[in-house]
Amino acid sequence: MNRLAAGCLLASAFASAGTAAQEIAEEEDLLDRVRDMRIVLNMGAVAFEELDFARSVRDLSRILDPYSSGRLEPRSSEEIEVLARALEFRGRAFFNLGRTDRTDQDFARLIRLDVRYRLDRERISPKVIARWDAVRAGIVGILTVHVEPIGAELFVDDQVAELGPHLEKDLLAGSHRIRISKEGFAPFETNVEVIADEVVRVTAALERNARDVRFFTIPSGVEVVVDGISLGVTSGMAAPEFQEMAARIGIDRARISAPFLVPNLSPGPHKVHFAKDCFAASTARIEVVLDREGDAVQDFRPVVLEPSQADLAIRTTAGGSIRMDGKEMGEAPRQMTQLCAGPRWIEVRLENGLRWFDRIDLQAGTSREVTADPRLTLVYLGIYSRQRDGAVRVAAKGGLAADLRETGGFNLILPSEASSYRSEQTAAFIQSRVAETLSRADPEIWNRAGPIGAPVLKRAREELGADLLLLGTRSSGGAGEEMNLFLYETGLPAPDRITLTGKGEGKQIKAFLTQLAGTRDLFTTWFGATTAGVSTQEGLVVLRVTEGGPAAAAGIRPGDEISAVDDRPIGTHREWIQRLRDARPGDSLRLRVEREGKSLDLSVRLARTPRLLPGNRPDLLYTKMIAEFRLRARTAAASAEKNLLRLNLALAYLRFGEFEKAIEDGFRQAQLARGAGISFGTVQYYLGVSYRNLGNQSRAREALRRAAAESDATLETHDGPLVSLRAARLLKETP
Amino acid sequence: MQRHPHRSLKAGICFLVPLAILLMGNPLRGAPAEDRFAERLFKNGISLIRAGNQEHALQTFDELSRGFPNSPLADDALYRSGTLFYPASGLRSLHRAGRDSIARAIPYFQRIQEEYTYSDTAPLALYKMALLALESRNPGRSLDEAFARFSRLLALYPDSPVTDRALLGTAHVQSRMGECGQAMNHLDRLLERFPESAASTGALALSASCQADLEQWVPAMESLQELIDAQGNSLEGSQARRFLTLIYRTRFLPSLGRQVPLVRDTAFETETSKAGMRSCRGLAVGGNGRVYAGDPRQSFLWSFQEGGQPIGKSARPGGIRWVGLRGGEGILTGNRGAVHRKTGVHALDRKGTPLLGIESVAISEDGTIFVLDSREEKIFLFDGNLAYQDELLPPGEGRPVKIRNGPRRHLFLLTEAPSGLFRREADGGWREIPLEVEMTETRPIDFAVDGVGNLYLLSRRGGPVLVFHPGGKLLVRLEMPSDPDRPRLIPGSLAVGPEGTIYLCGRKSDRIVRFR
Repeated sequence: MNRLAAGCLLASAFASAGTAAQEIAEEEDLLDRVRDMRIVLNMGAVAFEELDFARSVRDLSRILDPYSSGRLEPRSSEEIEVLARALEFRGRAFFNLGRTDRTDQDFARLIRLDVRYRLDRERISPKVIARWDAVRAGIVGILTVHVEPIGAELFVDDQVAELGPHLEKDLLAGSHRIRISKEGFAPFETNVEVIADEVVRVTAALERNARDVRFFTIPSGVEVVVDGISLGVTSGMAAPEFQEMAARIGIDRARISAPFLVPNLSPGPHKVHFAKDCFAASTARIEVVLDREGDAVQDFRPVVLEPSQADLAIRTTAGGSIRMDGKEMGEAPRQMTQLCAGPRWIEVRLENGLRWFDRIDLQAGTSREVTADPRLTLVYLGIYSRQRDGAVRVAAKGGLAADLRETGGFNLILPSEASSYRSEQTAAFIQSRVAETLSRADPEIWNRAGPIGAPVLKRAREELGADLLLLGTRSSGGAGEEMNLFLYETGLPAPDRITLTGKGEGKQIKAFLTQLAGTRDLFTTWFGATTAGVSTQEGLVVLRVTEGGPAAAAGIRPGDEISAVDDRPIGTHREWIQRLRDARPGDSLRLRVEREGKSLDLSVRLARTPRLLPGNRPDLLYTKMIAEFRLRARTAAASAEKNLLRLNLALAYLRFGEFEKAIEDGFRQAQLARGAGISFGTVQYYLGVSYRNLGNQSRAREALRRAAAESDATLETHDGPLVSLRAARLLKETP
Repeated sequence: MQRHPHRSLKAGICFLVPLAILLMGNPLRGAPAEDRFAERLFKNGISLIRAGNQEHALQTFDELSRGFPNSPLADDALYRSGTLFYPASGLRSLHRAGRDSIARAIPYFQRIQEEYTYSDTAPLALYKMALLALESRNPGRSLDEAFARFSRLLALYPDSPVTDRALLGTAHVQSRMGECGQAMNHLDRLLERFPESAASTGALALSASCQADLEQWVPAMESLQELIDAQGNSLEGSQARRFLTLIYRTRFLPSLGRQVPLVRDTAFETETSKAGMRSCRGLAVGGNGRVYAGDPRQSFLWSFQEGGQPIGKSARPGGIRWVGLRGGEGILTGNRGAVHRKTGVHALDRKGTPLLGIESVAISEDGTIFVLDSREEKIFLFDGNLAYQDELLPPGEGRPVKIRNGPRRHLFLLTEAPSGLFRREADGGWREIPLEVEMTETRPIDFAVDGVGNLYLLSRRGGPVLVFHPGGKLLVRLEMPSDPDRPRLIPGSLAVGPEGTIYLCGRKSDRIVRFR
C-alpha cells in the first residue's frame, strides 16, 4: 500500500466515522477504523525504527489528531490500545527530535488514557524511561483499601476493581468514588482524593444487614417458597443436636427434616409457603431479626404439614381396569381410600374396549364417586386464526377449553394437557397439519368447508381413540370478523359448522356446549292423534287417529272436537302441542270432546313414541349424533333401543349424503316390526330414498314398494306423516 | 364472484408485462391491477345503487363487465345489472316486472350462463332465468322452459344458495302442469333438507295445495296446520287457516258422512246493514276475508271487515256493474264500458274498438284480466296495464253471462239459454261440468268457485244456492231462509269466501247475507 492510498484510506475512515448515522453502520465503521489505524500505526513504527522520526510523528499524528481535537472519542479497548501505542511512539519520536515538551504531553495523554500502561524498560532508553517516570509521578498516586469481611466486591468509579480483603491500585491524581458491597452486609461508599506520587489508604469494616435462617418441616421433602420464590425442598432428618428442639415441641426428632438454610434473609416480615404432594400446604409469616452481635442463625419452629387425602369410588356397568396418573389401580368397580388430594388423571379401560377418562380434582377429606360408563372422546384442538403475515396461531388454553372441561360429559383431550394424550407426537402432528392447511388455504374456504382432511381424522381416531374432533377458526380483522366452530366425527370427512357472530357469542357457545354434552332423547310423549284448529270451531278438530295409540284407546275418533283439557279451554294448536311436549309418558289428560252435538269426557293416558332425528336442522350437531348413536347402539342392552339407535344413526348419516353408510350401519341393522307408526315401513322408505340417491333403482323400487304397502307406518313419530303416501309418490318417479 | 382455475398462471404472466400496457388501456386479464380496478368499479356501482342512481350504476357495471371480462367481479357486475331490471327473488315476487325490464334483464343472466358457468352467480342467474320464464309479461314465457331451467339448476348446482328456492320453483311448475304427485316429491325434499329456510313456508302452502289436489285431505290439513304453527297470525298463517277451514268444511266433514255446515250469520248481516248501502250488484271476498260490494244506485264500492263492520266506501263514477279481485293489487270494478282504476275511468278497447257490453270480469293469479263482453259474446284478455292481449270464444250454445277464476288457473264460464257451466282446461279447450242437478231446474244467475274448486251456483228468483264438488256432485243445497220478520231474500250476486263461506246480496239490498 503506498502512502497516498493509506492517507486516502485513513481520511475516508475518519470522514466516515464522523458522519456515520446508524448504530450498525457505526460498528462497521469502527472496525474499519481500527484496522486502518493499525496500518498507519505500523507505518509510524516502521518510520521510527528507520530513525525517520519526523515521518513517524507525521504518520502517527494522522491517528492521534482527530482524538486530540475532540472529533473522536475512543470507544473500544482495541482502539485505546492503538492510540496508546501511537502516543508512546510519537512521544519517543518527539524525544529523538529534541522536543521533550511534546514528549511529556504525549506521555501524560498516554497515562491518562490508560493508567496501567507500562514502557518496556529493557528496550527503551533510560533517558526516555526517566522522562516517563517523571511525567507519571506528576499525575499518578496509589490507593490501598482494606475490607472486612473477605469476599466483598470493590468498585472504583463504578468499575469493578477487585474482590478481596486488600487492594492496591494506581489511580490518576484527583477525586475517586469507592464503593464496597457484599450480600448480607450494608454497602460502604466513600470519596477519596488521590495525590500524585503518594499512597492513600482506606479501611472499611462492613456491617451485617441480613440474617441466615433455618426452617424445619415435618415431614421432610417439603418445598419451601419464600416471598413467592421457590428455594428448594427440605430433606433428610434433624441431627442429634436438634433433640432438645424436638423435645420442646413434643415431636420425634426422626420425623423432623434436616435444617433448610436460607442465607441472608433481610430483616422484617416474610411470607413462607410450605407444600408437598398429598399434604395440605401451609403458609407462615415470619419475622427476621438482625443479630448484630453474634450473627447467629435464626431457627424457626418446625412446620407440620397434615396429610391431605380423599376417597374415590369408581363405578362402572361394564367393568374395566383403573389407572390413576398412569399407574395401575386395579379393577373397576373399586373403592379407593386415602388417595392424595388434588387433580388426578383417572382412566378406566372398560371391558368392552371403550375408555372413560377424566381429570378429577379430589378435595381433601372428601369422598367422591364417579360412574365411568362409556362415553365419547372429544379432542379439542383450539381456536386457529390467521395473522396478517399469513402465519397461523392457535389458542388452545382458557376460553372454550375451560368451558369444555367444566361442561364434562365426555372424555376430553386438550392439547394444553399433554399428559392426556396417548401420544404427544400425535397431538403435535394433528396441530401442525391443521395449522399447515390453514396457512395454505384461502380463509374463505376453511371458514366454509372446514380445515381437516381424512388423514388427520384417521390418526385422531386410531391413535387418540377420538370420536369427535373440535376446533375453531377466527377470521382476523375487518368488519366481517366471525368465528366458526367445526365439529368432526372422526369417521366422516364433513363437519358440523357452527358460525358464531360477535353479538351473543357467549350464548351461542353455551347452547353448543349444552348440545355437545347432552344425550338425545329417542322418545317423546305420544298422544296418538293429529289435530288442527279451524276458524269455525272453538276447539281443535281431530284429523287422524293412530291405530293402537293412546287417543284410539280412549275412544277418540277423527272429526271429534277437543274443546277442553283438564277443565280448561284447549287453546291454540301450538299451545296444545307444547302441552303434550311438557307432559310425560304415563300422564293422564281429561278431555272434553264434542261429537255430533254431544259432549263427552274422555281420559287419555299418554304413552311414548319414538322421535326420529329430523333431516336437517341447523341447531343440531349431526356429527355428535352419529358418534353418540353409534356408541349407544354398541352398549345398549335392549334390542328395541338398538334398532331405534341404528335408525337414527342412519338418518344422521343422510344429513351428510353418506347413503352407503346409512344403509350398511343403520337401515339394514334396524330391525323394526311391521305395524302403525315408526316401524318396518319407515325403515323401508328411508332405505328406498337412500338407494335412489345411490342410483340403485331396482333396490329403491323394492324398498319403496314395501314401504308403500305399510299403510299405517309413519315418519318422525308414531303420529307423523304417513309413509305410504310418500313412498307411493316416489315409487312413481323411480324408473 | 367467479373463481379462476388458472388465476396464478395469469397473474404470473401479467407480472412480466410492463405496467404501461395496463395504463394504455389494454388490460391483461386476471392481473392484480386489473382486479383492483374492477373492484373499485364494482364498489362504485354498489354505492350508486345505494344512492338511488341506478342509471349510472348500470353504466358502471357495464363498464366493468365489458372492460374486465376476466375479473372475478365481472359476473357479479352482470348479475347486479340484470337484477336492476329484474329484482324478483322468488315466486312471490312474480308478475311485477314490465315487458321492457324483462327484455333488458334476460341478456345479462344469459351471459352469465354462457360465459361464467362455474361462477358463484351462475346458479343465481339460472334461477332468475327460470323465474323469467314464469313471468306473465314475458312473451317467451313457458312452463316447460321454467321447468327445464329449475331442473338444470338442481342438477348443475345441487348445493347452491338457491337450491331450496329451485326445489320450490320446480314443484310450483309441476303443480301448474297438473303433476302434483311429482311436485310433492320435490316439496318433501325441500322440507327435509331446508326445514328452516324461507322457502319452507311456500313449500308447506304448496304442499297443502297439492295434497288437496290429490284429494289427500288429511295430509293437506296437517301441512296447513304445520304452516299455521310456524307462521302464527301472519298473512300466510291466516290464509293457511282459511284454506284449512275450507277443506275441513267441504271435504273432511263430508268424508265422515257429515253435512257441510252453513248457518246464516245474522251478526254479520246486522253489521253490514249499518254501512248505508242502497243497492248491491257485484260481490267479492278477498283472501284476507274482506268483503267488497258494488252499490250501483249510489255508484259506490263498499268494503267490510271480515266480521261485517264497514270499512268505507269509494266512489265509482259512471256506475258499477261488476267487482273483480286482483290478487295482491286490490279490487277492480267497472261498468259495461269501462274499468275504474286509481287514475280514473278507463275504457277497454280491442284494437281500437271499445268494449261496450262488459258483463263480468275475472283476474288470474298472473294478473291477466279476462273480460266477458255479452254483446260480442266473447272473452277478451287484457294485461295488467289494460292492454289487449287475446280473445277466447265461449263454448256451447248458451249466452255467456259470468266468468270466474278457480284454483290451478282454471277459468269458469256460466251460460244461460241454455244454462251450462264450463271449465277451461290447460290445453285451452272448454269442458262442460256435468252437474248432478239439472241446470234447467235452477237456471243460475251467478256463481263462484272456492279454493278447492267447489262450485257455488245461485239460482234465479230466490232459489237455492247449490254447492257442487268440482266433478259436479252436489254437496249442499242451501235454501233461502224465510224469516217472517225480514223481507224475503232474493239474491242477485254471490261470492264465496276463502273458508267456503257464502255471501249473497240482492239488487235492492242494504246488507250482505252470509252463511258459514
